Amino acid sequence: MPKMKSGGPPAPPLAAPTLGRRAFLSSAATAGFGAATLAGINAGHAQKSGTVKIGQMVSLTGPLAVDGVEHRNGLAMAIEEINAAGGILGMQVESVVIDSANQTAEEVSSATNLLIDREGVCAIINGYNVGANQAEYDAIADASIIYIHYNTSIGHHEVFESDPDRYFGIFMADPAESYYGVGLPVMLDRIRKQGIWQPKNNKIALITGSLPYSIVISNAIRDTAAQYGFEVSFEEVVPVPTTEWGAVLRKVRDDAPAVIANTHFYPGDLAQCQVQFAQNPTDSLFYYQYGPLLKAFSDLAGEAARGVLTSSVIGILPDAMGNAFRETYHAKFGDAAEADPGASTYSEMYHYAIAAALAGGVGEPGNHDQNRKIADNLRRFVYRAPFGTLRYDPRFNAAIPYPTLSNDPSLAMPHLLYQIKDPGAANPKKLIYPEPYNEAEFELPPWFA
Amino acid sequence: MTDILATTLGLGALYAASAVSLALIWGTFGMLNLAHGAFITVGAYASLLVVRDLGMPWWTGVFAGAAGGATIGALTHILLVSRVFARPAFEINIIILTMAAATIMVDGINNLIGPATARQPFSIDGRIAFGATSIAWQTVMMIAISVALTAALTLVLRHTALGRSINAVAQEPTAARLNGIAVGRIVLKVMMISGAVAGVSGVLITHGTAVYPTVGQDPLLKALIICVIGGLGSIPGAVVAAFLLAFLETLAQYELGTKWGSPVLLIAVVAVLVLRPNGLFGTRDIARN
Amino acid sequence: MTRISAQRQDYLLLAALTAGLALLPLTGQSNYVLGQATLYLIWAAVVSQWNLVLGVAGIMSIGNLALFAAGGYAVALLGLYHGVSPWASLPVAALAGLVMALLMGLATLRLRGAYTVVVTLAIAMVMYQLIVTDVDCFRRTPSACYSLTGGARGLTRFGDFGFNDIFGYGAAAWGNFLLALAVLAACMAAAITVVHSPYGRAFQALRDNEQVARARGIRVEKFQLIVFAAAGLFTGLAGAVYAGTQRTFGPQVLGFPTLLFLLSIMIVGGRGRVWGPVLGTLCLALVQENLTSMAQWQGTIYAVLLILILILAPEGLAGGLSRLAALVRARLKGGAA
Repeated sequence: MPKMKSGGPPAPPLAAPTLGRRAFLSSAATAGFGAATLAGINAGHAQKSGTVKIGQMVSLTGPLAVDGVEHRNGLAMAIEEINAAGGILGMQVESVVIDSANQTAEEVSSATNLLIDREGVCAIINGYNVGANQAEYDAIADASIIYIHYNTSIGHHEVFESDPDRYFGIFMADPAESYYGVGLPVMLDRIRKQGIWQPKNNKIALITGSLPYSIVISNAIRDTAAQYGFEVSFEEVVPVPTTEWGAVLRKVRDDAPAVIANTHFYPGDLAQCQVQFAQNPTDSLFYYQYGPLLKAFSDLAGEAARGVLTSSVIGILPDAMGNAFRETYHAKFGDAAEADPGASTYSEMYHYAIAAALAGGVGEPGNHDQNRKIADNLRRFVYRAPFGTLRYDPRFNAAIPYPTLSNDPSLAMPHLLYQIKDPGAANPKKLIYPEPYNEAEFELPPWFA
Repeated sequence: MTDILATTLGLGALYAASAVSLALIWGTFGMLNLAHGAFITVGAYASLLVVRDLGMPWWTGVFAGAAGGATIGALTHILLVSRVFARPAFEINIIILTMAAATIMVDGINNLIGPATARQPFSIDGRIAFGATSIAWQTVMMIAISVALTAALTLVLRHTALGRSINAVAQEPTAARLNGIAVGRIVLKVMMISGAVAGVSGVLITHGTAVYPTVGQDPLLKALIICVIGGLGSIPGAVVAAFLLAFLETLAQYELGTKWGSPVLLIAVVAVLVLRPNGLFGTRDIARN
Repeated sequence: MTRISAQRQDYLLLAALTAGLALLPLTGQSNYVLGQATLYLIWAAVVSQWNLVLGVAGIMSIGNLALFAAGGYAVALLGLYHGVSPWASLPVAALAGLVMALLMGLATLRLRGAYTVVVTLAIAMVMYQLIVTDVDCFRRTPSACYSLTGGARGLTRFGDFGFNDIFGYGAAAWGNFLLALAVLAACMAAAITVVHSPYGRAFQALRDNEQVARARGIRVEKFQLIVFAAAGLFTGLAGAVYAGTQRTFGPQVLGFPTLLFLLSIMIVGGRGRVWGPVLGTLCLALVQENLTSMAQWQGTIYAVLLILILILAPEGLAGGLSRLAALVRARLKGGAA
């Protein structure tokens, strides 16, 4: 599969507000993330003055800060471009970022109150906070502001469905983690139908990490397996962290399953698992949750990582739009920056800005009617982001995944399956599914007899 | 069963190396060092920095670990232990102080070196065959280093002048001082030895777990349990308890499920202390008189 | 002129302080300020009880957060599975804390210092690990499956104290604040009572010189168990208020960062001093709110503060203040003479 190059030179930095309108439009058209759209709406409306405050609460310190810094960068990049395009109906956008450190319920709740009460933000455009448990939802619902995050949590669906009217302004910009589990048997079935992999049985062995994220995914795999001709023949729960995999791998070997799925997600632990598995492998595909997306997994596991499968429900696509975003992002924040987390907050901000401009302006805390209009626009207006189509399902205010919930990639966000092709390379993994985005084909892992 | 025994052997050697370091200062000075886990982490990072960042050969890692551990042991003595040693409420004060010190060390590594996980460079590849089964060179090396450390420590304590001074200070600090023993320097030496052993065990442990800032937390708990079950300050007791508990943990993981490994150990230690407050092999009195 | 006893003085101070703090919501503070203040009041309450156990009774427990967790989980589980309001489960939470404390107290009754540390830590860690590895499907919702204890995610949506429903929108912040203040006042009253009781003086004697005290026939084991149990009751109550005001409860309260934060409060305030926990909380709250830009060094700052106070001024802020007060009193007397 040829790698598609972007259609033109990368967009120049758009910091200068004096940038000519023509130059601006041509550069924005390269990527097409929405600056031109916004500029168009701005031009057709009465201009307001003043500033709009947008909040964010992400980890800027502590062990979870790696992604948090990118979340902040993505938001900053979008705001810079939006202000260059005339802001939101003339109002300049300004961000207030609060550190949610270890992302506990306590820290996230307190950050939410700070943003609403002290800063008076009109919206919170967020990355993720894994431990918050929707503790922040009620403060946001009380203030009826817009809150967009990508917590990847089924808990969002449950809280939203419990009272859609109260939580109208809270959106999750990626599919819930359970779709990882729903999607895996679908993808395995596809691989099996290609014929390169001919499993001796239809067993899936589950190794489940003991964090909720892992458990939800494992449960979803178990529930979906049968529909695609698989059965879960074995399951073992491992504590977090786990580095000694001898006991669980021995039991897995006795079972000799077609597929082993490990939903524990720490890259270091998973690398140990793969190294210990490779010492005495069985003819099983090995799927790991999340860890192998990071280069650290391949660095730690070395050659043993070759052939491993992993997936993501949100990731920059290797297409014209995705590549253009990647280039712009790296030009701005350096080669060591990770573009994927940045793309999320960047896109959420654009989507919000356009929805607010169309609604005739932003809504401050307590401005229930205006924020309702904006929320309606967010649901109505499909946004094409570097990671595919962002469309909110009105039943649960969350992104719709392709192909698990919708089989139309123009209306849903693709669930991406990767295989580690070269552990030593700068980018060890290649996208192998779904079409039309894939850049490589599935290959049988080297440990197969 | 051979799987269980092989795992027990490797795990037991690791636990023993880490636990004797804790047992040494607990047994001699009645000092429970809750920064032990941080010592382990510092040793692991010292090896990482010397081999990965300074480009030294892989085998220097274990010496770097020892040096890093000894340095942090000396610092802990100078900044904390010497301030409260042989004073009222030493026993609880030093527990609180070392807990705080551990936070500073882990925070420092987190903020100055970074939270990312890295591979421990001190490792060798390959396996040697043993009839039908085979054992990794890494495991052989781990067992050899652990045995050497424990033996050396026992020899120093029993048969050297330093060992005799340590015992004198341990029994009665005031009397030792009156007999012309420089108590402060003895404690400093013990802290450095203990730090070095913990540092080396950190290098060995992180081969299996990879190196990250909080990597010492779990080994600290294990070492605490081992020392309690082995009996206060008894180094041979700690070694026996290390293998016993490694066996118990492995057995629980294989028979009950992986997640039961740690809880079984913790419940075991509570049970032992409630039923046999002197530890399984303890001779000295640890219960209230 | 009649002299007021030290105990009476402490009670009066507590009453004045509580009344003063109760007026805070009237000064138009934002929800953020009231929310943070609520948390600090709860932590002060927990430390006041821990201080009784560790600082006054001399039981070297570092597992007191297990008592807190027992209370919090009691509220969360009853609310979630039986629809019980946090108000109704307050007594159950207190009882849960008490039972937990009795278990810990009995397990450590015969042990000396460092071994008490190990056992109490082990009990808290067992609780933590059993919760985070609890993944068996217990409650099924249309979209997912949850374990009994909620695992590492914790529990949520089990109800709150309902101030918004009773007093209208916006009342939750000050309602929660007043409730937390009431719990702190109750905890402090209990602490004052214990410290000035004959038991308190017996503990004091034991701390000052164990051998002499034992020779004089002072046996404190029974009193230690009583104090531990009482601390469990109040700590469980604080856990219940935490769960009901934060509307979520999870195993992270059993982790090392919380432990170190509370330990710093105790040491900075003054171990074994009645007013230590309140002063320590005030000090650490000021540090925390003013150093948000250095959040990644927060743990280090607490640890350094703790070390400095323990080595240089082991009596803490409360000790320093009472010395200052004595000095002023002596001066005044000298001037009058």
